[in-house]
Amino acid sequence: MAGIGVAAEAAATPSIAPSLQPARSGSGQSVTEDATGILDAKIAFFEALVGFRAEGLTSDEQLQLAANQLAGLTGDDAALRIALYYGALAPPDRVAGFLMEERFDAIHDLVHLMDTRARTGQPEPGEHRRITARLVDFIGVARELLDQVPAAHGESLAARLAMRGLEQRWPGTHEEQNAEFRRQAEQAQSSASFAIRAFEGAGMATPQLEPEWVLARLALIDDDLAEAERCFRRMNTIASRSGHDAWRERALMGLVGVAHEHGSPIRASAALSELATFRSPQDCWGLAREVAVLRLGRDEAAEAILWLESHPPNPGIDREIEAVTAQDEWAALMAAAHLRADRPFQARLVLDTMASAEARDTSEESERRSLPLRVVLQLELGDPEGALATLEEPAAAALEAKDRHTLRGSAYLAAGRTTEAIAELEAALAAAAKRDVQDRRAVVDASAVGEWLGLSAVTDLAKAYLVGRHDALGAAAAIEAAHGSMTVEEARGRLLTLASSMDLGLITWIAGADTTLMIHVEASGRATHASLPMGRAAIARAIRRVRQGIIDTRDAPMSGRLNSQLNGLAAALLPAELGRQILAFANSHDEAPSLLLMPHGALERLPFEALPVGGPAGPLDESTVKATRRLGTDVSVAIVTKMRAAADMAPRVDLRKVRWTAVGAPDFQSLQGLDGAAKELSSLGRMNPRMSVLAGPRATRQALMQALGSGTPLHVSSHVVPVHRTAPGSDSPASGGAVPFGLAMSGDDVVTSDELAGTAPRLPLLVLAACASGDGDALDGGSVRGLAQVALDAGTRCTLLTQWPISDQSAYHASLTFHGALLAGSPPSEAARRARKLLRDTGRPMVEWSAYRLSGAW
Amino acid sequence: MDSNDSQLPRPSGLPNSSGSGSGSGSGLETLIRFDELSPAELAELKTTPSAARAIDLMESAEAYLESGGLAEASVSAEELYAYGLGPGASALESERQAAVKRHLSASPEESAWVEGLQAAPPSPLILDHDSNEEASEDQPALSAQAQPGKHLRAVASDAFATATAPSPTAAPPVPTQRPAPTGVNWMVWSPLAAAALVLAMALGGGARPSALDGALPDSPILRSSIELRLLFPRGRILSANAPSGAFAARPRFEITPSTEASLFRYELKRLDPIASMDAGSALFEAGESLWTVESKKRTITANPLETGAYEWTAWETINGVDRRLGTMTFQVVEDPAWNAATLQAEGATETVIRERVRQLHADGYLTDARNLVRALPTSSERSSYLTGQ
Repeated sequence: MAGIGVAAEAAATPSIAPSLQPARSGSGQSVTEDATGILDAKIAFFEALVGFRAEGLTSDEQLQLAANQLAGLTGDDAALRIALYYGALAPPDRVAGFLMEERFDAIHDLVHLMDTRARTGQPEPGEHRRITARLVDFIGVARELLDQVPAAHGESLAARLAMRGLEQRWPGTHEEQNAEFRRQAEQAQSSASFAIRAFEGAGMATPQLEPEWVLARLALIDDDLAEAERCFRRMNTIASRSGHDAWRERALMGLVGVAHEHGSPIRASAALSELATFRSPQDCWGLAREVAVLRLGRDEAAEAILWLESHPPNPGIDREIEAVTAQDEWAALMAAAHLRADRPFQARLVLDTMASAEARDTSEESERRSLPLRVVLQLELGDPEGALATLEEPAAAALEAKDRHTLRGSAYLAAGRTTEAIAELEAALAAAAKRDVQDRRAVVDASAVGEWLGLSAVTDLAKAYLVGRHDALGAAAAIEAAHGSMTVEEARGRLLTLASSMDLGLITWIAGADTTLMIHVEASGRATHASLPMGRAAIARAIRRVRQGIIDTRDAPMSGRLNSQLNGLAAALLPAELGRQILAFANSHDEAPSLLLMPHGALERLPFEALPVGGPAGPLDESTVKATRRLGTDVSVAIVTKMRAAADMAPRVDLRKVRWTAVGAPDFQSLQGLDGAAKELSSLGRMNPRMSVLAGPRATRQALMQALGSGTPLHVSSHVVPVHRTAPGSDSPASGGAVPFGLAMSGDDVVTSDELAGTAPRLPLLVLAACASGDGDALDGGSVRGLAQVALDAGTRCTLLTQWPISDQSAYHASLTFHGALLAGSPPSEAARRARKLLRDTGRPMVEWSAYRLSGAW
Repeated sequence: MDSNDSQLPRPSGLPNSSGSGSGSGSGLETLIRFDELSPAELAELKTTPSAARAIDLMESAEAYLESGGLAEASVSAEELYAYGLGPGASALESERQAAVKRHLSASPEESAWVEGLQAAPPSPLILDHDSNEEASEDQPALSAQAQPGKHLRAVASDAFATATAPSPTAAPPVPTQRPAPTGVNWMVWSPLAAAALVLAMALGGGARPSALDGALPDSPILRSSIELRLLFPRGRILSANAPSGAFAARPRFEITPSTEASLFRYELKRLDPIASMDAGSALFEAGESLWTVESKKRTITANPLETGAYEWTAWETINGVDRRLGTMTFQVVEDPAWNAATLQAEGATETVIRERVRQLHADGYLTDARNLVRALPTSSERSSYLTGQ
């Protein structure tokens, strides 16, 4: 073992898939020849190093030469740094270190034997204690040496052994509270940290993988997700460079786990994509399992079933898994997929099979894995009392607290015990809200409420308020509390304030697994509700079809089909009395009424602006369609997906009196010129003397970044361009790439969403007159992750965004109308209505006028 | 290339507003006097999609101007037009100029239209009353070059008309240099000025080829470079009942290329399988899967499609993991305006094919238009149309 870690480190880079290394220009060598040359150089360096350390047979110059040759071939200076480290040691210190590493190898072999016996069910009593004692002795001696590498190996192994003991008692036994548990954890952390420092000092990165892994696991036990993520990322970087695929797999699976804990399927997906570049889902159950998990999370149950059927665990090939555990996981996922596909009997069949397997292997872990599904199945089959009884089984104690609360809450709700349901579900929500508050700054593409806990828990809580307390306002407050990370009582007060500031109050929606709730809080504070027997999958399907129907109006007149679909959506999702209220308001007022819409989950992508109000539009007939009142043109609507405290956003300002900046119409060689945007900016500058216009060559990255950080209103007219998501291996701490878009700027430059977020734009109003500036991946509990949402998250008060691509010319007209209305004193939601109305009244297709959305309450 | 190709005006850019000048006033005048036409004339005018769209805009404008907009304003459409120095406009008195200026400062949208008037509106169409001849397939109705007969055609800009030498076989072009309308002509009829405003709004500012130039149709400039992965079919598609050349007779499912994908999967679902359900009720239903197919190609050809609504989904497999690329709906519809003959590329000249492509495109049958474009000889223009660039 002595020197193996060193050699592996020195040879790190070359061992990365040599076939991928391009032949060096001018060398005339083939890829294979290159790889052979690197291997020879590795061996030469290893032999030189051994000779230099152990016997003094190799001179410093010879070692340097070998290191230079290897570094020259690989482009990595690891060998040079190692040579430098050992060259700085006196010969006796080098020899002492070398001999200690031989002693370490013997201990390492003993650990390996112990592991083998444990795996084959033949553990030797007291063996672990004996080896640990020997290791402690070894570390004590090694720490005294000038060469700290042997001690680093010893500490690394000690940390791993300690970690194994800690994980066997965690989670669920509450021993993490135990002083001995804490002491061992701290010892493991100290050992791992020492090892990392010592290896780093010796220029060795690869041996840091094991202690980094220990630190990551310890961070997970401490619920310190940020630290765990940092460690896994570092592991991934080192393993990727050194070609240690097994460690890289562990690092990426660790990142997937952290992403789930944050509630970020976007990050989980990115890590899995990277894992798939070197692992096949046929041979890597972790990869196959997580792909299935993501599909279930996206309501793609049928696809998850197909995937699981063709990707069962393969313990014969996959050395990272334990056969029984993997089989349990497969069965649990399959049962969950059947349940989501509304096939409870197939789910029961799978669970029964799992139970019979448990009879042979009655491990607590196995029972814990199947228990949530048994509860859900019982609820699905109308047996809430049975579900509550199952939740009293000993295995339930090992459930994660949020799962225990959620399942109990759902079971109590189904049993009609709403008070207990509310208590349990609020406890689950509190745990998720706490996590969201912790993550708010660090993780922008996650929602613990939406993706870690799940919006079904929120839906159940709202139902409990409705059924048990007949409290529609409380139900609305429960929905908003979950999304705004606040208490239900806080949310109740804010909702009443918001509703009273709107002519028609506000409406909130939430789509659960099987039910969608709508609650209308009128300006007076009166709240009414309606329930739709459709889950989020059906809602998302309908919204997708309607959005496409609207987009198709760019090329063809509005179809009767789209007309019927919009009518269907409005009838299903808008309060029955809303149309009458709008008509009554119109009869008594000159201006349009204001209304706040608060959609959540799948509903956030619903094009509310196009929905008819005031009764169904009836069959498609040109005059009828034209005369139909629509939310976007007849009501001043604003959309809010998350209530925020006043301190969390820019203050309201008089938009007529403050300084504005307008940036856009950039010179970008490969993109079509935006004549409309150029005209738009020029006209805006003339309309508003307080507006500084930076167009054409002046629309630079610097100009945009400066404007984003200025705290004053900003108008951007440009192209939205795709940006590749950053791989998890990136060193960037915010490399989740939640919003893979950017804004085109002059000089063929692109300001990415991450850069936009980096300026922390806390603006009173941001107009993003660009294509689909509000569109992106939908994140339950975390809004649609578009460029506009990035600004809202940072504290921008309102944005005028677009839901899909818009034409340059229409945007020109919409922007001028919007700003004209602002200058006339209209609030942004009314200005947006006027812009939509103008486009609609002048014959622009629905795809143009209904694209504009005002997001955020003014 | 078809022999008629030499007669086709080359798309040398657009009837750019500054280049078209006021000489095209007759075309504009004809179009914007749409409500003076007989119902039959109007109906015929509307059979040409581009004209229909322009007329729709003007009808919308009328409605807008009469119902709200300018009706509530302190200035008239004529004054706005004059203030904007539209073609033939007379100068306003200083007092009225100030009034218009005040009005525009509060109405930036109108201000923008007025700005557009300073460049003359483009010259879209002429309704030629001189002949009753129908356009033949070889001499398509909608062409950039004037044709005899009572049909619609584009009026070339001045520069355009002089740059294109008439073919010996071509009918004499209608003079494009007509006397510019006088200020009185423009002013006496207020909806006329209003319509001009709308035309300026609807058509102004463009500098790209249009269907009226003889070029293949183009899409509007969008403020984005983001592509959808699913290309075609999409939108409305003509039924395959009669024409063997129709897209629906041999539908081709197409997604954007991928260098990483090793496999693609396609699924087609029939929506509204229950006839009694209307589209609003069926909106939430999953649909009935008709087929699923895996292929290494990014395009597949399927069996003929019956009339109805469909939804297709595509996945790509990268490194053994498949991921959904998207889902797109489309409808196969019956349209009496299109029949077997008009969708057949076989035996049709390039000119005819181009014309049909333009009409299909203008009617919203983008998938069929794209299908027909493939019958054209390879060219950068054809390629641009197929790639949507």
